[in-house]
Parts: sequence; structure tokens; C-alpha cells
Amino acid sequence: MTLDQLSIDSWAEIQTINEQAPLKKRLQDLGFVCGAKVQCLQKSFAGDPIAYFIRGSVIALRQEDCRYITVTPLTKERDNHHD
Amino acid sequence: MTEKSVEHSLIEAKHFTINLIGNPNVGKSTLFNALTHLRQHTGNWAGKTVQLTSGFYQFGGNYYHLVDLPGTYSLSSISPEEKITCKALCQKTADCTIVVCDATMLERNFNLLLQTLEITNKVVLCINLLDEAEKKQITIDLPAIANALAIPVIGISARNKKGLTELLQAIESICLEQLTPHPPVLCYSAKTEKNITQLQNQLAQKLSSAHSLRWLALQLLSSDKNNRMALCQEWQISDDSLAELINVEQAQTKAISEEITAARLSRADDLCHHSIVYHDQQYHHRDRQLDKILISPLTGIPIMLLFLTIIFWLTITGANYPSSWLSCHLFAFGDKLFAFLINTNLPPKISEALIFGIYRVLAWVVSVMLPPMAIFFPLFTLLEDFGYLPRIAFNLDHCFHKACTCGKQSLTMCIDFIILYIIKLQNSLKFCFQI
Repeated sequence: MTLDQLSIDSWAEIQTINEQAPLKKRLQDLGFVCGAKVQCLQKSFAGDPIAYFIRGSVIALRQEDCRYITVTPLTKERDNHHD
Repeated sequence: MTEKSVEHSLIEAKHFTINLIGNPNVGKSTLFNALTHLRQHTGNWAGKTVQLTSGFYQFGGNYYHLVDLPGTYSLSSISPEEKITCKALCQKTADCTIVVCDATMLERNFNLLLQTLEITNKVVLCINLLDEAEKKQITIDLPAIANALAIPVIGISARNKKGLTELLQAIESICLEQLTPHPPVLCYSAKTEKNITQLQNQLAQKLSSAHSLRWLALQLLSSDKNNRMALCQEWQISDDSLAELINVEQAQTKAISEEITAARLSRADDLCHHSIVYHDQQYHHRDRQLDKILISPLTGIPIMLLFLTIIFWLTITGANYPSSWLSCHLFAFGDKLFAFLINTNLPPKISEALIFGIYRVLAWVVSVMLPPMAIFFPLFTLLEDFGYLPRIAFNLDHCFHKACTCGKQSLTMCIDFIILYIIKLQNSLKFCFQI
């Protein structure tokens, strides 16, 4: 599934970022790389953009950018991201 | 120190150039102002420092030229800010580079630091917002970071001007070459390393040794065809020599690019893991709880409207009182001034022009414009310090996206609203367009 389908409060591991993503390099620099763990925090009132927690900071992404990122949901709740 | 400064003044004051870099919104401009005493404007949204700002300061008898480079998350992308910063670093014209990091977000900030260390070794790591970290009960082991990276690491709080002397001393010791840092080189896979060395050797024959060849080789290897062309143009490597320089396939460049990014991020994670202790494991929880209210679909917009209404109400209604007080006193003073001028030998026409033409217009503009601005901007700054402005941008991004722009513009729009209001005030008295 893609990152925008991740439900609020759940964690996922990033699988791939599509080559066509216009922000690919920027996303990678912010920590969106294969294997990284990301949590969906909050959707704004129109469902777009969506706030994510990654590498100790909160980043909001638009749906159109999220669609380029495929993830696998993690079932185990990760309360502490610093482990 | 006094001995040293006497010694320097006896010989000759030296001039050094210092680059200041960091992620957006880590207090770079605050540090710049604190060091140079230059009142450069600071703001909360990304990419504010688009042009280069520079200032001077003096320390230990030497002069330092501080260049505030645009805030970036990385040096490898292709935005204008990143290009400016990257070029300034690669040319190695500076005697020292200060990398400013946010103590509460080191994981993200270290990416830029590691990239900078790949370009130059003359780096001082300056960890800002230590007071904020303390509030969130984060302990940062500065000596551990300094040990791991072999560079001076100084913790400061730019807002309270704490730790600035230590920072200045560290910069001095690097500039005077009393200290030459040898940070460990970030190594990649054997295959990539082989490519880097090969390309680096070839580049050495084309470019002067003043450039950071390893970094340039890395950039060329990891960028696609278009970026590669842009890079070559920038570094004036001719097209035919480019073909001979790089025989790496497209698919391979992607792999190399991913490998490099992943290696940097994992090194950053490693550094954080060994040097940061979060005593309050739930520290980010409170922020998240607050966010649940401030940016949730249900309550986000009403709260935002409430905040903005209060601010605009305070600005518009509240400004009336100081406005009438100011105009009353300024006009009364104007009348006294006119009486005084009439008594002097000045021709009445000139004193009339001075008082009714210049003084009254000025008094009117000041009494109408000063109070709304003096109320609105401090209130807006308060919201900025509170961290609410990015949340407004988040709430409104969808609407602004439909208008082909982004949520950040909503903040500019708030300021525009107040300016329009002030213009309307002036216009109502038919002053605005006659001036």
C-alpha cells in the first residue's frame, strides 16, 4: 500500500520510493528511505496534507507526494521511536 | 587571552571568512545577529534567507566576516538555496564553517552536518536551542559527538546568548590553524569507493585542487543526466571530457544515490544513538496530544479562526486608543510648533508648508500606522514562538493548493490583511493616494 493509505497513529516501514517522485531527493534527505519507520500522525480537515512522524520530527506531505511511497504497515505499536 | 590580543594587535589583525549553515529554522539568523549585532530580520518559515547576508565581528584582535548562507536540509538536491550553499562550501574560500543544529532535532540535522564534513574539514558544530532541549529533558553528550566526529562541538543558546564565547574561541582556533580537525571519512561500499577514487583522480587533472573533489565525484556519480549536465556547467567541465569522466550507467547511479543517502542517515542515527539521552520518554507525546487538538479536522479550523479573530480584533480595535492619543498629542505639538515658527522671521508660507504640509502628514501617518503594527507584529511573533504558524499552514494547505500555491502563503496573507487594513484607514481620509 502507499503512504497516504496508512491510518492515523499506525506505524509502517518504507519499502520503495518511486523513481518518478518529483521530490525524491528531498524526501530521502528528510529520512524517507527504504527501511525507515514512519508514523501517520494527523490528517488535515480535507484529508490532505497529512502529518508524519519520522526520525524525531514531524513532516507534512501532500497526498500526491505520498502516492509515490510504498509501505508495509507494522502491527506492533512502537511507543518509543528512539529505541 | 589578553596576551594573545596584544600580540595580534602588535603584528597585524587578520581577516577571516566564516560560513554559517544549518537547516531552516534552527536559529541561524538569531546566532548571526548575536555575533554581529546586526539586526537582520529573522522569520519562521523555510527559505527566508534567500540572498546572502553578511556581517562582521571582531574577536581576539582579528576580524571575522560572517556569511549567513540559506537554510537547507541537504546539499545534494537542486533547489536554488542548496545550490548557493553547496557552491559557497565547495569553493573552500572560507576559513571555517559553522554548522548550526537544533538540539531537539539532531537526527534530522546531522544529515547536513555529515554532508558538510564530506566537503570540508574546517567545521565547528554549533548545537543551538540547548535550553529547549533541557525543557524537553533531552541530554546531549557534546564530548561524545566531538570525539566521534573529531571536530569542535559547542552547545549554545543563541536567544540567551549563552556559549557564544566558547563558539568564538573554537572558530578562532580553527582559523589560526591551532587546530586542524580530521573528521573520519564516511566510507561507502568497495565498488562505490573505487568509482569515487577513479573519478576523483580524473577530476584532479581538470580542476584546481581548491575544490572538494571527493564531494564533486560523489555528486557526479549519484546524479541523473540532467543534474550531471548542470553540475558540469557549474564547475566548467566541458561536455566531451564529461563523457570520458563518467561511464557509470543510469541504473547504477540510482543505486549509488540510494546507497549514499542511506549511509549518511545510518551514520546520523548512530551518532544520535550514542550521544543523546531522552529522560522524558514521552516528551514528544505532549506535543502530539496538543497537535491532536490544534490540527485535527474537527477542532483545527475553529481554533485557528478564533486565534486569528482575537489577533485581528486586538489589532483593529485595540489600535484605536493609542492612535487617538498619538494624533491628539502630535497635533497639539504641531500647533505649538506652528506658533513658534510664526514668531520667528520665517516667511509664513514656508512655516505653513512645513507644518501643514510635512509635519501633519507625518504625524497622521505615524499615529495611524504605528499602533496597528506595534500590536499585530508582536502578537504574530508570539504565535511564531509558540510554533503555531506551521500548523496554520498545515490547516490551510489544501485550500491554497487549489489556488496553485502552498499553505505557507496563508501567513503572508495575514500580514497582507493588516497592511490592507492600514491602507484602508489612510484611504478613508483621502490621504493614501495624495501623498
